[in-house]
Parts: sequence; structure tokens; C-alpha cells
Amino acid sequence: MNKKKYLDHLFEPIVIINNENEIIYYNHFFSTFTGLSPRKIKKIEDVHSLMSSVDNKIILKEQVDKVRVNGGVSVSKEGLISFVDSEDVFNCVIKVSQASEDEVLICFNDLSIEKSIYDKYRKQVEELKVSYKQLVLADKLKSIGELSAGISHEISNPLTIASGNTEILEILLESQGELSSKDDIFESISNIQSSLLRINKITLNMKKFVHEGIKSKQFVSVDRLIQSSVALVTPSFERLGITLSCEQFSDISAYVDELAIEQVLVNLLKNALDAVSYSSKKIKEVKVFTSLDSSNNSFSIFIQDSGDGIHEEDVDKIFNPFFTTKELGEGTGMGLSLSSQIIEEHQGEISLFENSKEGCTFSLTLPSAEISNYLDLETRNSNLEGTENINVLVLDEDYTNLNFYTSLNEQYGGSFLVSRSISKSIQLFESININKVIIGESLFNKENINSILSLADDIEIYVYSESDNIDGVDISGVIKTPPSKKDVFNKLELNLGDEDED
Amino acid sequence: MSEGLKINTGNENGNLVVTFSGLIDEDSNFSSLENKLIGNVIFDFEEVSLINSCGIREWVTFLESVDKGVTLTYRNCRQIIIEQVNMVHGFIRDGAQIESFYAPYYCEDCDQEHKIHLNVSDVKDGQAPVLKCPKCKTADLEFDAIEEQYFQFIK
Repeated sequence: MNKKKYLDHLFEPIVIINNENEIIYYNHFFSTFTGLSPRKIKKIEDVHSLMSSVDNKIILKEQVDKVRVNGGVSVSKEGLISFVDSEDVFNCVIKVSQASEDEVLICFNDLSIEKSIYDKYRKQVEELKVSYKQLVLADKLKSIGELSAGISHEISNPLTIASGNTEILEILLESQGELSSKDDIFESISNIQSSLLRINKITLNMKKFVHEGIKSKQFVSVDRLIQSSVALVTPSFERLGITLSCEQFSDISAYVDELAIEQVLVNLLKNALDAVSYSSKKIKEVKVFTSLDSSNNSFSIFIQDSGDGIHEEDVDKIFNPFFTTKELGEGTGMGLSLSSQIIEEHQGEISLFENSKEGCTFSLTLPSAEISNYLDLETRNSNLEGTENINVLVLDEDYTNLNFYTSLNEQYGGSFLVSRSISKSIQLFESININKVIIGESLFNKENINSILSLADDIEIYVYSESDNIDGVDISGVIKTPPSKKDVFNKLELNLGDEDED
Repeated sequence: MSEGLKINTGNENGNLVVTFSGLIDEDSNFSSLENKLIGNVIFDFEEVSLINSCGIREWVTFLESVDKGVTLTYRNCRQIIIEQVNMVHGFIRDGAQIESFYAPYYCEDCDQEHKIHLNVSDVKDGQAPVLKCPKCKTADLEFDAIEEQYFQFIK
């Protein structure tokens, strides 16, 4: 059997040419692939007239010449080609190799279907992203809609106060503004101002909540996260006479997309409100409390209600999209499903922590701020633990300062690891090669900072301060607060991104 | 998104005739035929314009789901279908028959290609039947493929 006959069994189109570029052999699949009959192929005098490159990415002649001169194999870029007498366009890679001293083998790798499926997949992923974004916004708008009765009540109270005070002002001014009434005028103005400020705060809260925003993680206080969510739902709780109590929170930080987590908390609080208001129990209350895990690597927020609990048969379905136990038109069934996705995006977990006829408790567990920030940076830089990286640890209690450094990571691809805790910083030292440390002045003056300094013998230490120098301390430099990009990059001798912008 | 595959069913002398038209590709869905295929079934490929490798996968998976007791006959197979039958194991299952198909011919006098409808019984000893050009009616047509390769399915 002629060795070339073996090529007839392959599912790849193959052509062999001689030194005159004449086709001396083609396999069975070549004819099927190109749609060219043996009669047409026979008429082709030069292989280079067999096909043409549609996007000029494949130049067969150059490949063939190169192989004839250098031997070996030449693989083309992926490009579009069409064959003679055909309107079909194929997305191909062409491989040319020396078959013998006077023969060159040309193999066509058709990637048209892969390309078409890839394009289709990309388009569908983009559509899904848009749909998801719309779902998130729809969920927010629905929440605001449901809370609007309470919120409008919350707005109408200060409006009534402001309106009453304008009447008082009018009366006082009609009485020619006697000296004795001057204090009353100032008091009325002050009442009006505080009422308007209150309204402004409510509308700002709403505006912030429905704002689509850019997904961006920041260091935030968990206390602040809970308080801003609670502020949105409190009017609805008050209107229905349901107690919403929050424990005194400990100083826990999170590295999260603040608006997204707020959306989750509002969803959970709204569900708790519904559960309690539908219940016939006398005690109607919802509690919010937090806890830190024993190793301080994660924290949880719990929302506990005194409703009737969730039916056992529904427990496995509550996080499914479109699952709802509410009346038709009252719930979309997307709240917990979206919340679950948001928390998963934060490497966290949302779960039904406790469920009984006495009520249920949902828990929302997230990694500590330091771990989240580390994971985020690791994903972005892919080789954070590599020794060639310049990794800078920023240890500070001030959220604004910490977020200044995380923004440098986002904008300039920096490697600033950020922490509010001395003990967690020690853990970072154990796993990552840290070259420089910036310490906020408040932490620098704490006694246990020595546990960091003792680890950092060969490491440059910088301290944040409002003054230019810190006397009597062996450090590499002082970074003035508030920090500027230029100052930080100059002091740390880093060269990242566009130096002009500050 | 492709224009898709359309599937129509009809009855011919008590046999179910399934007519496919359009593209057989990754979006092809044969679920409308589920539980409908019983007894003798004729697949008609007259209107099929294209089949790609993903479509072949869908087709083979579909065939595997068809009850083994069903007798399948392929009719009006376009050249692209015959090429797949010859190349892909499982495109036609054991016991199924090809009744008729199209074969490429060429008329040198008219310089025109023709796809001629043939019955399997027209092909003797792997040789394409000699036919006159349907246009000029005088010249003998030339078979426009490799007979050994094209008629492989008849063996």
C-alpha cells in the first residue's frame, strides 16, 4: 500500500506538492473539505492559486519557501482563507512541513466551528452579564418600591416640622422681628435646617442604594455597612410596629463592594420583616448581630427573626432563582438567589443558620478584610508570593488611607497589602515576601508594634505622620498624611503606571 | 444564530416520513421526534443545506436515542450527507438503509456541474451509472468524484 494512502484515512485535509508547486497528491478529506472535485483539483497548476487569504494573515508561499530553505515545520497564524471557485470562508491554521527531499506536505487545520462557537459563547456571556446587571438593579428598585411607604413617612415627618417652623417664622416676622423673638427665629431656622438635612440624608441613602456603580471593593467598617442597611429599612419596621434591634458591634472590617453587600443585607432584613409581619406571634422582632470566627479569618452577620420559620420542604429551594412563598406579584423570588451570587463573588457564604417554628436566622459569612484583600491582589498579580515582587504592607487604622492604597493596586497594578490589625499582619509576614512596610502613626505608637518590627529586620519601615520627621526612631522615611501617589512612589522608590497623575 | 433546522413529519403508506431542512449544527434539536419514531421510519434529507461537526455529534446522539426496533431508511441524501455517512461511524446505524442519494456529475460539453438523484440500486460494482447530460441531452456525464470513495457506503 502506498504510504500516502494512509493519509486518506485522516480527517484533516492534506496536500503534497513537488518542487514546481504542483499538487501531486491530496487525501480524500481534502476534496470533501474544499468542495473541489478531482477534476477541478487536477486543473490547478500551482498550489498557490488553490486558495487565497481573506484577511492576509496566511501567506502560504512564504511558508512553503521557508520550509524548502530551512526544513522543519512552519505553522501559520489563524486566518481566513477561501478556495478557488468557492464562496465559503474557512478559519484555518496551515501547517507546512518537508515530506521528502522534493516534496512538501501542507495540512489545513479547520477551526471554523471552534471560532463560531467561541464567538457565540462570548456573545451569550455578554448577554448574561447584562441580564445579571439588570436583575440586580431590578431587585434594588423592587426593594426601594417595597420600602417606599416607610420612607415616605420618614420624609413627611421632617417636612411637617419644617413646614410648621416656616409658619412660626412668618408669624415672628409679621410681629416686626422684635429683639426678644430673635432667638425664636434662629431656633426655627435651625429646626428647618435639621429637618432638611434629615430628608437629604434619607434621599442620599436611597440614591446610593439604587446607584449601579462600578464594582469596586473597599475597606469598610462592618458596623457602617449594617447601619446604612438598617437605616433604609427602619421606617418600614416602625410603620408595622416591629422591633429591629442591632447589638453593639465590635470593630470588624470588611473588604467588600459596599453597595452589593448593602443590597444583600436589605434583602435579608426585608425578608425578616415579611416573616415577622405575617406571623401571628405576639413578639415581633428582628435582631442583627455579628461574630468573628476563632481564628479571626472570617466574620459573620446574623439576621434573626421571630417569624414562623421556613417549611422543611422549602428549605432546599430558598436560594433557587424565582422561588418564592409569597403571593403572586408580591415577590420575584430573586432576592436570596442574587444575594447568594453576590456573596459567592466575595468568596463568602450565605446560609439558613437556624430554622424552627420560633423563627429563623440567616447568616452571611465573609473572609476577613485582610484575607479578601490578599485574595484580590493574588488574583490580580497571579504571583504575589514570587520573590521578585515588591510587596508593600500597609498597616493603618484609617479607612481612607487604606482605600487610597487599594486604589493604587487597581489603577497601577501595585502590590499593596492592606491591614488594620497587627496580629493579622504577622500572618501575612509568614506567607508572603514583604519588602516594605508603611505603618500609620497611631499604630506605630502601640506597644505590640514591636512584634512587627522584630520580624522586619531587613525590611524598610515607613511611618505615616503629619510631621516631616519622627525623632529617635530608626525608620526609612516618613510619608505625610493625607498620602499622595507621588509622595508614596517617590519615598518607596516604586515605578508604577503614569507618574504625572496624582 | 443559525437559521436552524426544521423538522417536519408526514405519513407515506403507513410509514413515518421525517423531513429535515436547513442546517444541522450545534443548535439542532431533535427532541420533537422523541417517542414518535416507531416501526418503519424514512429520513428525508432533500432540504438539508449544511451539516457541521457539532451537528454530526448532535445527530449521532439523536440516533443512539432511537429505539433499536425502529427500521430506518435514508432518502434523498445530499452530497454532504453521503460524505458524512462515509466518514463518521454512527452516522448511519447498523441495519439502516440508504434508499436514494445525490451524486456529483459534470458535463464537459456544457461545462456544467449536476447533482443527479440516484437510487442505490443504480450503482453496480461500485461504478457510477453512465448518464446523459440533462441539459444538452447528448453528451455523456462524467462522474465528478472518486467512485471508490463516494460509493463506500454501498459496501
